[in-house]
Amino acid sequence: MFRLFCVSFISSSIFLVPHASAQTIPRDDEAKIDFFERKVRPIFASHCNNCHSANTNSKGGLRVDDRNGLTVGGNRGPAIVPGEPGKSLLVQAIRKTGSKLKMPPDHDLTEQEIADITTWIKNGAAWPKVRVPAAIGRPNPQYEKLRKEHWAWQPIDGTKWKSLAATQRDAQWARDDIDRLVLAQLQAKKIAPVNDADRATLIRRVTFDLTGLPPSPKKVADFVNDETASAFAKVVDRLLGSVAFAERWGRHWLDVARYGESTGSGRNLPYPHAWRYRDYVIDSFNADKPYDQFVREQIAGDLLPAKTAEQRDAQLIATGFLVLGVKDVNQRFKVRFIMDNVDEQIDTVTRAFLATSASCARCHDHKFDPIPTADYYALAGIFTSSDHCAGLRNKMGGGGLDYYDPSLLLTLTNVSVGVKSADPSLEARIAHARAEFEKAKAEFDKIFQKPAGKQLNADGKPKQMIARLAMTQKEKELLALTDPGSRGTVALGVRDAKVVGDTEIRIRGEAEKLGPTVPRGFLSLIHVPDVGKINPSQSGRLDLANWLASPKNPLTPRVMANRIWKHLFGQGIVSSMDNFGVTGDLPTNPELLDHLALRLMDNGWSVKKLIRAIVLSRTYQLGYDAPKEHLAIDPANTLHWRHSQRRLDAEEIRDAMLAVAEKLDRSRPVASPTAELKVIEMRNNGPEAKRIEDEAIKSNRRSVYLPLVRGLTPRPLEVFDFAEQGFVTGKRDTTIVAPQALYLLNDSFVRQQSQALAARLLKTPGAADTELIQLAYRLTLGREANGKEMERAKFFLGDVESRLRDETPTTKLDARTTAWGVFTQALLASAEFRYVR
Amino acid sequence: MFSSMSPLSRRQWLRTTAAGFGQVALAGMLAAQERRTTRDPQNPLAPRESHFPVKAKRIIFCFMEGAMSQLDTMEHKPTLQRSNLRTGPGGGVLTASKFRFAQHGQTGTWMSNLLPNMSRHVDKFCWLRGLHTDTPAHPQAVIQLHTGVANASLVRPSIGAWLLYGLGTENQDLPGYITVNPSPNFGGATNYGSAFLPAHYQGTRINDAGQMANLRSPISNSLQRRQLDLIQGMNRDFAGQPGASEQVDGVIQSFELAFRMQDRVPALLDISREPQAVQDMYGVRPGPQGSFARQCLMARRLSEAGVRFVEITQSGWDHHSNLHQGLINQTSMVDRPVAALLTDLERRGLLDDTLVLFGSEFGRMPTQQGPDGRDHNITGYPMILAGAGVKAGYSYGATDEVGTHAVEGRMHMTDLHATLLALMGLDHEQLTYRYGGRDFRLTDVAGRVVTEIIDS
Repeated sequence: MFRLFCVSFISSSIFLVPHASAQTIPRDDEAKIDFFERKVRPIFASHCNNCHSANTNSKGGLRVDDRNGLTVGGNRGPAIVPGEPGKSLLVQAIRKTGSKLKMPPDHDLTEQEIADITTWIKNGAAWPKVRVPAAIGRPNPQYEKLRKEHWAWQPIDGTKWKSLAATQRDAQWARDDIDRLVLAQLQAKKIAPVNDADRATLIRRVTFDLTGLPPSPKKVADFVNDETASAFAKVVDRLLGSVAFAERWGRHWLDVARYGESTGSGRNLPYPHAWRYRDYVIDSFNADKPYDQFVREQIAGDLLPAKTAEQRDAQLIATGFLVLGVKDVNQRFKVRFIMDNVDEQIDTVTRAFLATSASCARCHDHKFDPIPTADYYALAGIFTSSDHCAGLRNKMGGGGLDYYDPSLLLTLTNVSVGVKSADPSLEARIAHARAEFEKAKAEFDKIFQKPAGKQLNADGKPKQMIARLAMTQKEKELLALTDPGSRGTVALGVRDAKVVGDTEIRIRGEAEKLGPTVPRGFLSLIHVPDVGKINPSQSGRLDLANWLASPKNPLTPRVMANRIWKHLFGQGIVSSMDNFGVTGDLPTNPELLDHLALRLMDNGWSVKKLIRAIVLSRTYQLGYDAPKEHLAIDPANTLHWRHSQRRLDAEEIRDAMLAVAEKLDRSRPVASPTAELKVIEMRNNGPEAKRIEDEAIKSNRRSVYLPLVRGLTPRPLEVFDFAEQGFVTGKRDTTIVAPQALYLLNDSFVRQQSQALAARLLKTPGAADTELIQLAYRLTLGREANGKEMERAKFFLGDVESRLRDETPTTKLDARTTAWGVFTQALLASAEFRYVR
Repeated sequence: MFSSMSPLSRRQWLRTTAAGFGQVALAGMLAAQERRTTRDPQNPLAPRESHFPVKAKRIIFCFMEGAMSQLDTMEHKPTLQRSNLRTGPGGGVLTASKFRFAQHGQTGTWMSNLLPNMSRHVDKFCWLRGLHTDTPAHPQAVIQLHTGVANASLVRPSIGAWLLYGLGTENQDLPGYITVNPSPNFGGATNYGSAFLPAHYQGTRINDAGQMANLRSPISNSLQRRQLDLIQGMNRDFAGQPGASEQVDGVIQSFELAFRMQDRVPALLDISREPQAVQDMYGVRPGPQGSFARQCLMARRLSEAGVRFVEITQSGWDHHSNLHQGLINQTSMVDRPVAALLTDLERRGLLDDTLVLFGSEFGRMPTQQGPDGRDHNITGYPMILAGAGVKAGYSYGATDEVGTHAVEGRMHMTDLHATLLALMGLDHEQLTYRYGGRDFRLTDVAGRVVTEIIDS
């Protein structure tokens, strides 16, 4: 009805062709709109708007200040059926002919007003058309130029890197093409790489980088003493084969996936099944799932073939990626709820896989990158054709379970982890609850709208209202028993909607303002050959998945290769991790980036193989020394003449403390504390929040398994720049603030680990203090204490212990244990503990 | 604009080193007057040059969460009072206020008898009476008030974080942005978060008993000092090694600052150190009834110490029912403390450079809801400014004669943000942060500085 244009689809880019006859509004329509403006709109404005408009709370979900609002209607369904006043609820309401629906509630419209509204509906309910900006659909020559020229959107070049690497063919220093490509740049700047790292440094570095944990003193010693040529490769293969690797690298992906276990936003509702996605990610990295497959599963796992029921379940869980974002469930208008969620999906998908910010094009053509609004809505059509299954619906001012919609969950058939065992009496309880509900319903039906129902109860409320409440209560009890969500055999994710199809451009991004429809499709900023058109009988996610994961897509492998490099060197080759667009940073070494992207694909998209190649390069194994001349030429070390130090991530700091204290529980928890939550709004100071916080404090498991309700980030993660869960995070901040120092000095978690470490040391039989000090250094810093450090430590321990003997004891611990606890806490709080180099 | 931190030379670093809340060794050299235009990545909270002349150095925001009924407290509408039980424009039944209004001060400003103490300060007030916002629901409106976005599924930095990012902080030994007793819902931490701005710009939360996390040492002070000396000895050794990260110097500073904060901050938040007469003036008492009084007194102490942005919260204004008694209870908890805060700030000369903002996420309707309630109104409602930079005894904007729609001096939430930034010396169009390829602003693509209210 608002489609002013018809649309044709030409090759891979979209053009909107104005339809000649639709450009002028027929005179007849003008008269109808005039009638609406003069007669009808004023009635709405003076009698209805206070309860039913965008500016008010739109009672019953109905708004009358928008034509879609009337045709879609509120909770009772469409308020008007254009052309058919007899079928229009609005007419019934203002005529007050129905038994219940009478509007306005406190006075009547005049006969003339009712007649005007009726006439207006009969004549098609004319409404002023949305003005479509002329720029929509107009080709942009600047866009064409950018598509041809911007580096990131050009095909990956298989030759340039080879010729650059060939210039270093004879370099003795290089072990791998990675080294040759790095060396070529260093030579151009006339700087030489520094010496290799010593072995103790190297094993600490690689163990943290690959597993997020420190090496044990024994592993350090084994490596330092292993004189075989493959000593380091053995270490690397051991680490890559450990579950700890998947926990560390899975967490990197969870940053990108803006993983969170609740909606955040104005009403924070838990996602009790989100943890299944977390486990899926870790399992995928553990199995070294090819990255292209990993991409496909997260976009369209439900549409991919599956050999087994387990595989099918895993693929459904994978699509959780699309729905785990921040959501405003308190949104009044369903169409806005849908389009805001679609926007969140487009933003996440384009940033995560393509390092592209397509969401700018929601309201207008992208100002920098060649993403016209039409491209945005081509993608939007794919997501509007998919059900957003997060178990939630929108509602304003809901309470209790109002937001919960178990029909919007994906059913799993073959999971056992996190499933509550079937209660043998369940069948009987369901039967009982069903009978109770039927009984309550019968009682309600018997009196509803009858004199008996309108009689007032003792508390002044009508009897039918009491009966309705009783019925609703019984219904809830029945639902609680039959809801698969309460057994845990469900996942969050997406499925194709019953009706799939293209969607309209929304003018200025306003969900209600419909412009021309655009065919579903992909972004035109890159050309991906051999990818077919959207399958019209599906949502199009499968086609999108294939487009994203195509080896001909220049962005997907480059973006992932860059993410991998960043986690091993502290900075990406492109430092703007999630933005490869015009406003992003240029690659410091484009040949190296293309080489890595190709290598990722040539190795069957194996993430582990690429990581292995990189850490075995000589570049990765450089020392951390920083000669002045080098600093003068390249202070930020973008050329990789040394290995830059990095501060450990929040998870690494916490996990390392637990590990050295021998308190780390390496097992994976079953589910998450959030799995026990009802889908009811959480307050940060409520009992549910308290329980989640307590569980997080109590846990000795790896940090990746801590509950991650939005707004309730566990303290050890919060203080050290945990990922923002509101959007894709390719690179966390590294701030240095006083609360970190306060945490290290005063937090009970740190104190407990220090004391546990002290106890661990002191139980070593027959060891002298000097040996214990060495052990403490080896455990926490991965090295021996030097002479000065030894003297300082001995003096400190002696001094503190003697002072403690003079003080009145504040704890049950003896002075020696306390002194050692204070000492080990100093080690955990030291900068060296949380920096790797 | 400032998204990526460029590495510094070591010498440059040593000259300006500092961390977190502050600069330690060189605090004296960097007096409040000295402002710089370039951002030192190692000291992001150092005071910075403003875009405009600074009218206000700091803000205290008294947030009345839940939407205080303006029509029963501070918006006198004679037409509404005469139109009780008549049908209002746009539908609904008008309901006159049951509270008595009278004129106060030289300005003759009308206030209801619910706010007798605040009424004594009306000549200081700069009224914004034509505000409007986008969503008539608390969660979204509270988030919009704090972060500027109407779409609550977008996570954006809060206004305090933008102020710290733009201006740095005056007192390097304290957090520059403190929120006391913030809402546990309606966005929760989003309302004082930093979103894509680095974490050092986020608000520090304290409760209404003045407690902040990790401030209490588990061991004796002298023992902890010894422990700290050991840590710092190790840190200095580490920093002195060839190729050590420059960040380690920042770590060293952060420990010294933390140790001092442990001493200073609890003392600062301990309102029992105030003379009894001052505590009485605020109406300080234990329990929830005295929560806002304690918050007001804490706010004064924090502002006095140079905290850039302090927010204090009184919730419980959402009177869909029980409007009459509810307002009596609520105003009894805020009227006296707010008046005392203004008196106290004035006495200490702090009102000259401190701006007080008082108000809710939106207002309430002139029509009745149920027997004793009013529904939300986002189309016209007031807020009060007082103190630094704004015209005293001035009123800007107005709603229609019953108080439904703003008809004059209309100010969208975004205009309020633009104006607050301007008062603090920041141009809302220049205060940008590049994230994911785009320059973001608190005011997105809108916002008008309402220069009419600025005292020149």
